[in-house]
Amino acid sequence: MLMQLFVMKRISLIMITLFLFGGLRGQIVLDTPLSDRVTGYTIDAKLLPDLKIVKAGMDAYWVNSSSSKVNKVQLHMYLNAFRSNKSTFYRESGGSPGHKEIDFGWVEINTIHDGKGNDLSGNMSFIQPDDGNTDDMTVLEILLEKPANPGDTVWLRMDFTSKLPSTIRRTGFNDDFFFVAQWFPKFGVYETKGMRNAKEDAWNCHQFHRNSEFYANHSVYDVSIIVPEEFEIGSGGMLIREEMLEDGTKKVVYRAEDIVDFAWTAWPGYLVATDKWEHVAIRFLYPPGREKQVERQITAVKNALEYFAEHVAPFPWPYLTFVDPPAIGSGAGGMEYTTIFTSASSAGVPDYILLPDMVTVHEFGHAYFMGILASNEFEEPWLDEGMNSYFESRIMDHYYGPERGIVNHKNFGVSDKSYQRLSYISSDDKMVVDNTPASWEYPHGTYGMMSYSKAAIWLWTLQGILGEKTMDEILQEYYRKWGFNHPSGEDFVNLVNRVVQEKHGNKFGESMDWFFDQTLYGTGICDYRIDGINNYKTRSFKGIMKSDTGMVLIEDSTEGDTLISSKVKLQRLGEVMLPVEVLIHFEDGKELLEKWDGKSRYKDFEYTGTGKVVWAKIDPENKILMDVNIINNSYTIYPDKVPVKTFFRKISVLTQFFIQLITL
Amino acid sequence: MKLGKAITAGFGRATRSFKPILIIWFFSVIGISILALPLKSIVLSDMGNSMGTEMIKEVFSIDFWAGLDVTLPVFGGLIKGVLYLVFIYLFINVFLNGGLFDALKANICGYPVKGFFKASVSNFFSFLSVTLLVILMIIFASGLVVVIPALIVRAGNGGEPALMNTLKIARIVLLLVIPIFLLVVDYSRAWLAASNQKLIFKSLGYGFKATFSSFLSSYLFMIIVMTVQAGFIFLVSKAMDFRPETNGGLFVLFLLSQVLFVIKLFLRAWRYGGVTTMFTI
Repeated sequence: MLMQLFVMKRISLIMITLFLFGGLRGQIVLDTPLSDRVTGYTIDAKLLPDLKIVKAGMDAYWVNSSSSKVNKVQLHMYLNAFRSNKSTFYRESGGSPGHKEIDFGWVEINTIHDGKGNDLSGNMSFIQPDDGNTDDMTVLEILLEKPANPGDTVWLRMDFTSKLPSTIRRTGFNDDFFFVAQWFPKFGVYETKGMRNAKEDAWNCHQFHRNSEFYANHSVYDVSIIVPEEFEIGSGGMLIREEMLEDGTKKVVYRAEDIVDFAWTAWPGYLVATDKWEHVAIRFLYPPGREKQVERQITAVKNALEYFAEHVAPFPWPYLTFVDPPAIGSGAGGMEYTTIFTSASSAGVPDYILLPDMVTVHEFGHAYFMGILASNEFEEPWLDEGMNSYFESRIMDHYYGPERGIVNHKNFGVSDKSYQRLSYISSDDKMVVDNTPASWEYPHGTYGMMSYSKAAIWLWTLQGILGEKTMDEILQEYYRKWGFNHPSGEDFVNLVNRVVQEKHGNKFGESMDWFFDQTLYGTGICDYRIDGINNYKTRSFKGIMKSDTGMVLIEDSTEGDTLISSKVKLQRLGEVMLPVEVLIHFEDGKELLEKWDGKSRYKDFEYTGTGKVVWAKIDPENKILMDVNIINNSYTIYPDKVPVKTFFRKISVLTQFFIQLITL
Repeated sequence: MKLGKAITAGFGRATRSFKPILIIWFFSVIGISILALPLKSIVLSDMGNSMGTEMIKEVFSIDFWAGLDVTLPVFGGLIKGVLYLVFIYLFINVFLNGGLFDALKANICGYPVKGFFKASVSNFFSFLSVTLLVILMIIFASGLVVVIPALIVRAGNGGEPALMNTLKIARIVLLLVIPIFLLVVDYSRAWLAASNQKLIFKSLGYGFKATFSSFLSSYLFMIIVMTVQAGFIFLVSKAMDFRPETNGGLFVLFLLSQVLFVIKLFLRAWRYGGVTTMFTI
């Protein structure tokens, strides 16, 4: 306890010192720090467009906020993923960075010293904590000259060279287009015992993988970038100043606070649109020819800003940059770096195809899950991608229509929710694995379907059970408690259990573990079905009864043959057991909403009355999105086949005309 | 003068060829029914008594199709079926066009069905060769007009706007070039039908010669016919917005769609008839 107090005091002292003299120089973006800022970077970079190289000098610090002595630091060196076809990234994705020297990407530390001027260049070695692939050079370990005591700050001063790869996969160049991400040596996260269930104090610094790239400290960045003056730059920082230099270049200075990564882009062709949403200044970089896409893209980002503000919390930064990369840089599209992200569009996208808008909303949403909450995307990708996909579909279907969040054509609508669900239910591998593997350990290509779609779908199902209001309360509390604090999946589950208890008592049981055990930690599918509806006239009693006078034939009871007995037969086909509602509709227009805990393999609802049951629907409001087959959720004794016949009639006519058209 | 004659006389020839038009329609309905009816039955059977069809009343609901076990085989079957049909109908249409051109040449009301099929058989291989050659020419021209300029622009420094503009211009050029190929194939077939010879390259040579010797009237005629057809297709697309709610309404949709299709066949016969008229002038 005393030790912890001592550490806290030292951290506070260091923060004040840093703030006054060190790495936090320049204009302050935010009124108050949002995070502990245990790391910070001051980088002076120069882009050499012809060589496709960024040369930089960097001062970086890391504060040992643990109670252990730490004798080494670990850094991401992610551009080295493009150093060879044997890197873990290329082993996982296949292919190769290229054939010519210019194609490959790498990052090289030219000189490195600690705060006391000790040369650390002999203390560096590459490690491979995830897969032992010795060809992978994406994690660097540096042995410190002197171990860092609790509360100490480790300073590193280095010069490094980053060569960008020609095949843009998240980062790279094409001709004079540059998207510069994962480009500087960046500290891993030193996790203290108990943090995200860590068993001991240790570095958590993963290699660069095909499917994930983010887990880092919230940091302060002071970055100056020199580029030829004709280049337009966008970055995740707030513009502090821009000055023209005498050699035909310009120097642009940025500052960013409390973000987990700093990326930037430079291209002479960019056009710039600016706008504002409440306190957020929006800057949009796009290529010539896409002027018609500007309004919809800015509308999409404003929608996302508004929705997150209303349902979770306002966007904390006063600025936001997003980029629609040109066709030559399309490999950089659909990426997130908190205060800068990339969309993906093209000039000819019709208004009714909302995929570009969806990408914009999705990548913006990462600012909350990857950026603010900053969960470990490597180890628990669903916490970022799944939650973000869930939120993306909420936003898209809210603003563009409940059945139209992806395609909004008069004859063809696809909701974002359905799009997510389709990816899950149509996969043959949906029962292969649960939602817990690390990103690179999902088997049989299930990463995308599981960490994006399945997680989004069970979060929708959780909302269906708890209601949107409770779900919002959960997310707000999640943000409040875990924002800038790196939660784990277990932290989320515990938080859900606590909020549900507070809001609903034992209505859903002592905890929601029954739900998470089947969804997050389970591999089963959910499928409820109506097997059929039986209606039959109630038969009056006819038979021999014993009476005082002997055996008597009774032919009629008090109720005549006018009553109808009905039975609605339900079945649970999947392993997942969730509470469902069943809407029963009678001939006389009466409707009953029944509840079924969904646990038994079958369930019959029986009624006796004057009208027969005409139809029944399980989950009439489609709350249980995990149900893999919603066609068998309903049953009617008067099926309407006209819509299917109409569909085939129209397809037939279309085919007739098409054949005539192409046969001259 | 020649243009006016082609329009009116072509119309007359098409009208008098109503029997061949109905024969072509019949073959089309049979073919499409062979494809669509079984697939429809599979979907209806898989749906059972579900109320899921509510989902596709207004729009094409992905949730509905995702929920059916048979969606993938049905749509896979549909796509394959359409491809097969296109392939088969390439031959069937060529076959029937042999008869139709003969009927248009004869220009009589009571053109016998027997004569139609006899001419279809007689003209089949020469019509097939000419049609395939012109299809190849169109594909080649498309490559020349669209793909090559697009690749050149893409390789240059014009970027996306230049590429988009090039594609726009290429589309317009292609649209202006296609009528020429249609005239060539129509004149060639008119020549084959009239001469009773099976000389494919000679007929193609005649097709080009006839197209360019009376280019203005021929080209204008083709543009007029294509404009009318485009307008008609627009009307068809509007008519197909009709969403029946009963089996009676469905029958109306069937009748409406087939009447429209027969009109489409008539418009094509008008095109052939007009070219045949210009050929005979």
